[in-house]
Amino acid sequence: MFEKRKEAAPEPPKPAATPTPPPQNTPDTFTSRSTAVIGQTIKVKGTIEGDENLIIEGTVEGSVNLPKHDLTVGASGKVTADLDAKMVKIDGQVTGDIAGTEKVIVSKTGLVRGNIVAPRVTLEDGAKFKGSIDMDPSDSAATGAAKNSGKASAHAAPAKVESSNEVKQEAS
Amino acid sequence: MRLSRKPANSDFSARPDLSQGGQVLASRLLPEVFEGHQPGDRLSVLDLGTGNAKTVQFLSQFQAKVHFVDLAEHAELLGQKDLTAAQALTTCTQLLGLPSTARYDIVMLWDVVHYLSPGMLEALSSVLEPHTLKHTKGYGFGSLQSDRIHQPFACGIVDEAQIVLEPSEGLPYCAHSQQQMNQKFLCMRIAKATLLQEGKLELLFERH
Repeated sequence: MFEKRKEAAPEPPKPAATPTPPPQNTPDTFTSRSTAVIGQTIKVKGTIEGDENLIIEGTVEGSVNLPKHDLTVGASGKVTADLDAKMVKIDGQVTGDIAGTEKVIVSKTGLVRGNIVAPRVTLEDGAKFKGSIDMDPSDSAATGAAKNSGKASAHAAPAKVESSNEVKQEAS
Repeated sequence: MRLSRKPANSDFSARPDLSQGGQVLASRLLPEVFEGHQPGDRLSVLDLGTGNAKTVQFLSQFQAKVHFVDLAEHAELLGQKDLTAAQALTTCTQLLGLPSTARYDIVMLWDVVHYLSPGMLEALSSVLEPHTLKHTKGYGFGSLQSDRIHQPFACGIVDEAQIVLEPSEGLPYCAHSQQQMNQKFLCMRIAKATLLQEGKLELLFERH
């Protein structure tokens, strides 16, 4: 009858809401929604442009322009194209010129035939590279300078593939 | 030309680069190749070997422009002895594919020149000549004995005083004699030679 009224324990104060920081995208951790993937069985001919990071595991002929984003050519990727991106990582095969406004990395499984223009270039041990490397950031205005410099430039029909939706396929 | 012989265990201490299966060698002549060039200088380098990770890493401090042309890949073609001078010149020009405006401060010849027939060596010299400058220096290998068979290596620059030699799938070769080099490779002369190991010489080339 005389129930002890339990005083409701005061709820711990909720921490002030803090905005969740957006996921960081690096070439090694493309897991956010803002990364498109061209899967292993996909073949693209033409120009690829967009406002998100891109992983190429399939075959691409033409050109890829992502000057504000990162581009990875995966180990199964075969690209005959000129590439222009903020950071470019090559794990697969590329024939064409590569312009990186920040950095270009050719990993130990990478094979590149073409010219690279970027302020920072890393060839990992085991990487295969044929062409020229220009590491002067002031010389090139990195975007596009490589395109005019080499014989390995790749060109294809100007069919345009916008962004990721039409080509998205997770690598199996 | 100056030839100095040093025992392999003194100035040219070879030690295995265990992480990569290559050999890192101290070089006495490589510092002279980079003499006068400071980090931050804009360097233009022609490397006639395989694109090498260590070379790129080292040259990045010079904000360099590096052109790799792996001539050893075309060893059989370059070794042909029955080509006319014009054919050799055309072949060499096509294989090198150098941009017409390119001028190089440094030419890394490594051991590539020894895969070339004498006619092709002369053609290489003709192709390179307009791409060199008055101050251009070259670096390569030779042999103390011209009949000695040398194993091929993929070569790279570790720093301005060390090179790395990594096992390569190329063909063994006998080096041109220095007399042959001086007769056929006219765009530069052998300025210095020092003994590395196993009868291998390192050579410093300069413009005439």
